[in-house]
Amino acid sequence: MAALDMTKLTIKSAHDLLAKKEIGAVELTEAFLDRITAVDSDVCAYLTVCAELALKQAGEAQKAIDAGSGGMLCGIPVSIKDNICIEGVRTTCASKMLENFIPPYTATAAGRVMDAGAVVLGKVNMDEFAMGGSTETSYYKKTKNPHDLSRVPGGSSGGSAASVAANLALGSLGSDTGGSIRQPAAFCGVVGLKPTYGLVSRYGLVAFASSLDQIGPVAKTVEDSAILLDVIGGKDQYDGTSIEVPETSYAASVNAGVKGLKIGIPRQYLASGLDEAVKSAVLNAVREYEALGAVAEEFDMPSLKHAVPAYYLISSAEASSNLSRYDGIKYGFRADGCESYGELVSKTRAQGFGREVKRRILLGTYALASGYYDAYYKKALQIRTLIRREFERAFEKYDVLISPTTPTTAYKIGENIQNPLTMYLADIYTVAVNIAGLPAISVPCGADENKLPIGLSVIGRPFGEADILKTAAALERALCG
Amino acid sequence: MTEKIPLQYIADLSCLALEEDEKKALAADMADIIALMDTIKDIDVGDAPITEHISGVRNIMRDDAVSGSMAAEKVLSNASVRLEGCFVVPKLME
Repeated sequence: MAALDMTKLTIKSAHDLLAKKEIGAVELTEAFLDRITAVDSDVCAYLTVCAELALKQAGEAQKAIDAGSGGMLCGIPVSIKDNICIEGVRTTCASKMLENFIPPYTATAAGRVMDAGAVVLGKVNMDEFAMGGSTETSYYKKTKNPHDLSRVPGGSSGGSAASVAANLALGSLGSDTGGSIRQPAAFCGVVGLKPTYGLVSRYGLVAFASSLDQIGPVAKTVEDSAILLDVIGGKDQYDGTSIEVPETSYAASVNAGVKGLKIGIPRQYLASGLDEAVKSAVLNAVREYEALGAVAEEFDMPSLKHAVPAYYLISSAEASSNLSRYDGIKYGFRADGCESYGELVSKTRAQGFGREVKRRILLGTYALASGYYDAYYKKALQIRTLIRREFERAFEKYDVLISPTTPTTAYKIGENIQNPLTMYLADIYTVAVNIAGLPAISVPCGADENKLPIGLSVIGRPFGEADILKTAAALERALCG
Repeated sequence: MTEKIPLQYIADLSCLALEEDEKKALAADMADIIALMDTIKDIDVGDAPITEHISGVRNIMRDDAVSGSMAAEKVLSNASVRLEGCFVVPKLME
């Protein structure tokens, strides 16, 4: 194999090299495993490296390539967030609660990428049970931002974004409940796509907030994201909320261009609290779009200012219910020395969950408790309706909406972890998309004075993935050539 | 804070046996968080219906056909304590 510049490799270019037999699938996998050994002690993206499984899958992929039956993902090394189950591979959700959990089945999305011939290098770090925005709530380790190892990679899919940004995988599957794919993608300078609710099966994704959770791709380029989405999307008999959509090729949509595209920019997303460098990069992107023939204008979405509290009430309420399954009996951590059932359950949960998970369970239980339900949970669900309606009205006028992905660039490890409220408020640009079930993609749009990446979000209509992909790809081409 | 949010009551409902020092720290955190949540109380939502689920899909029953199920050994494989093909729980009744 010729010397491989892994920093320049993408899913698409690796596929081309594999197809032309310029590299072999096993050699490619070995190169990534070697790099993980060399680099991941600094980045700390992986919780579990599956070298044996990866080499076996690479061998199978090579056979498919040799037989001429390999698709775009065949032989491509990827990482998988550690809340997406793979049968026989430890899946911890970055929690002490699931330290020794070996799933007896495989998540549909992970199964689809493996069926397509992708090679799973391992499971990557995340905030515990996907609750957090910095990957610092992981029970196991703190993942570092590859652009500055003193900074967070974002979260909760911080391991996914860091593994791709540090060239420790060519793509990754993450999950997004309130921005958990898009925000780390923005912090790490990669592309993260949260699909429309129902496009990708949640079967085998450890549940956080079931009405908001979606699995999606993290990759270096928009085209690579589309290649992954082509494989993981579509109806699944094991997820009643997955939706049948017409067969389409997202990868084919990325070159469509934006001439005549109508872009809306919610004025509330450019208001105070937004870092100047981020605002400047976003406005520069708007000018790029206008130069490419799109029409952009600001407009009002007043209900967006209520999105953060509504999101935290809804997601925490659902989490408090979903996480009630962790009782120490059927699987997961079990507290020692308990004499009654009640003591076993409450001590198991107190010792097995970290602080942030407990905050969310307490908040969710409070919001659902008798006497508080109407004031918090029901009200949040009514605000959800207002937000959904405002998006519907916006999409009567605009093809896509754009916004910053995050109010700041990546911050220092430890800077915000003691202040949960600061962390929650930083989700301002991402949570409304989950509340409304819309697709959104974060694409790099510049850097700040410290050379830290800035992400731009493109939001689409339900099942408008082709629109957001072509919009993001146009900016990628304009900025990167 | 404990007057505003009955932390012990909520912890009991949540099945979380919190230690005293953790209870104190969580009470402080929760006071700030609930203050943010309280901002929605005064919002006029009119007669907006609730949206529990965005896609509006309804429960779908699978075909009433016998299919395979997971082997008991596999189901039990992640339990910390198991005995003769069963999960083990502490005694529930005296």
